Amino acid sequence: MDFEAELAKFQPSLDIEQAEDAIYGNNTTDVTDLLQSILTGAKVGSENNTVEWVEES
Amino acid sequence: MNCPRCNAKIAFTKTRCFNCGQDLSGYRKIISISNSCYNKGLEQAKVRDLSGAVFSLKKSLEFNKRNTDARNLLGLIYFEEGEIVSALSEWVISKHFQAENNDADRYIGMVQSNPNRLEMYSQTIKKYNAALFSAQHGDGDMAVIQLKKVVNMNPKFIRASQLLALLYMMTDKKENKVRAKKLLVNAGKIDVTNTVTIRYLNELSDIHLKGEAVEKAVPAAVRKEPEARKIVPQAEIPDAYKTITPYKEEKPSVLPFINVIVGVVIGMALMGFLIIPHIQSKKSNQDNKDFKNYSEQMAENNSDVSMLRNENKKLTDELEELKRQNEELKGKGSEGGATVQESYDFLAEAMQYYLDNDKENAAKSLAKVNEETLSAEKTKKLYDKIKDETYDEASNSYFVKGRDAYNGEGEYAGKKDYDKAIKLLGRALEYSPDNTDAMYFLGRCYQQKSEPEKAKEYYNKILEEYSDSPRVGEAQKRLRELGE
Repeated sequence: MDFEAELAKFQPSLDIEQAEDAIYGNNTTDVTDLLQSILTGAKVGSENNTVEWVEES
Repeated sequence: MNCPRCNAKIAFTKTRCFNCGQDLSGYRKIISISNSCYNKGLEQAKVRDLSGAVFSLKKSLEFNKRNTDARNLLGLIYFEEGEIVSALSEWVISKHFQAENNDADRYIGMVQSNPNRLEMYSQTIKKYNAALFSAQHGDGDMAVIQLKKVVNMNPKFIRASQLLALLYMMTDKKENKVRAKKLLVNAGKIDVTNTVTIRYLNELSDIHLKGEAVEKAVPAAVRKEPEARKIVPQAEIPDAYKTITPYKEEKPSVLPFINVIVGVVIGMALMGFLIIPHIQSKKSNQDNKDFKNYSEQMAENNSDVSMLRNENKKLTDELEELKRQNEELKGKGSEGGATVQESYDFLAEAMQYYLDNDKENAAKSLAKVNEETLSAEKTKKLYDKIKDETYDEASNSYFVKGRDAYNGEGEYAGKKDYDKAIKLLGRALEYSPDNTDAMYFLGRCYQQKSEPEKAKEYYNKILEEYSDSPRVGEAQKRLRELGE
């Protein structure tokens, strides 16, 4: 076993003071968000009757 | 369930939003997948497959971040693994998505209700971070010290246990490897599928804890390659569902201490039953011996005292005798007579008068000598010789003087003195009791003094005892005068 490599894998634990940052940084996008954005886009599209090419990012 | 388009609340069984007419079949599918992942995570958490549960719950939240049940459970699992901040974060976010009727309220309240515990959690995290920093910068010893404290404070902090175990394993000492294995076994009881724990335990497969069954070596040909993700069977960790006890640093077994105490007790008992009686018996014998010696000594002393007393009495008697003899020699003679010294002095004086031809004074001095004190034969002979030659002379001298006092002649011319004559004639008889002349004139004196009985006594004595004396005729004549 490469002990040094194992040691390097350990990460510091979050402090209590860092809890706020952790909470605000947890703004992940889930599948429902994606669906909602798709549905929102479809709604706008239907209203404009135009279909635009969306470039993949 | 809320409509993703208009956010109207809709029953889960509906396939279309009654508000905006949105087709909800896809959305329902997503929610279902999220719920399925949550269910799977819940099942895994129930069997302490915490790593698997975390994976499932994160997946559930990726599908639906508003799944508060999944988020709350994820927080609980983080809390169980000692990741307090992560747990609180999940519960706070859960609270954000569902303000009402949320179990996260209870979980947050539980942590915040005890400030000391919260402070303790904060300290463990700080110490863990400090230890990690020390370990990654080559100060393993300091890291071990810090991590020991962390593990003691929060035994469920899996990352701390794993790091401490890794540091122990790096030392290559067997006792440290044993400690590492203990830590990892405990960590394995909290999260049975933690890959880091399992990997480290595999590294320590040659270390066996007390009471642990030793696996038989499997031949290489039979050994199968491990699967990519091996789930530890429950049989390998039989205590997986038991309550996790706090980690404690390996301490010396109490058994040797008990053995020592038992040994001491047995030793004391042996002393009490065997040695002390022996000592007491020995002491008693010694005391008896001492007493016997003392008694013998006492008896000897008593004997000595008795002997000394006898000797003292004997010496006292001797002393008394010597004192008496000394007194005799020095002073008092027997029966009030002259002492030896005086007798010899008078004898010497009489001797002197005798040599000067003064027989009367020689007789006077000799009369003072106590004859009993003269022990030497020659001295007695000398005494008798002077006595024979002087007493008659002295008696005669006193008779002449007595007769002169009776007749009123010589020294007493013209003055008759019968009393004086009686005294002088008596002295004459003292020197010579056979002096009949002195007896006759004594009778005459008493006759002249009209004491005929006394006069008769002297006249009769001459007649009876000295019948051949020339004074017999005169004595008879005077008796006749007196009527005899």
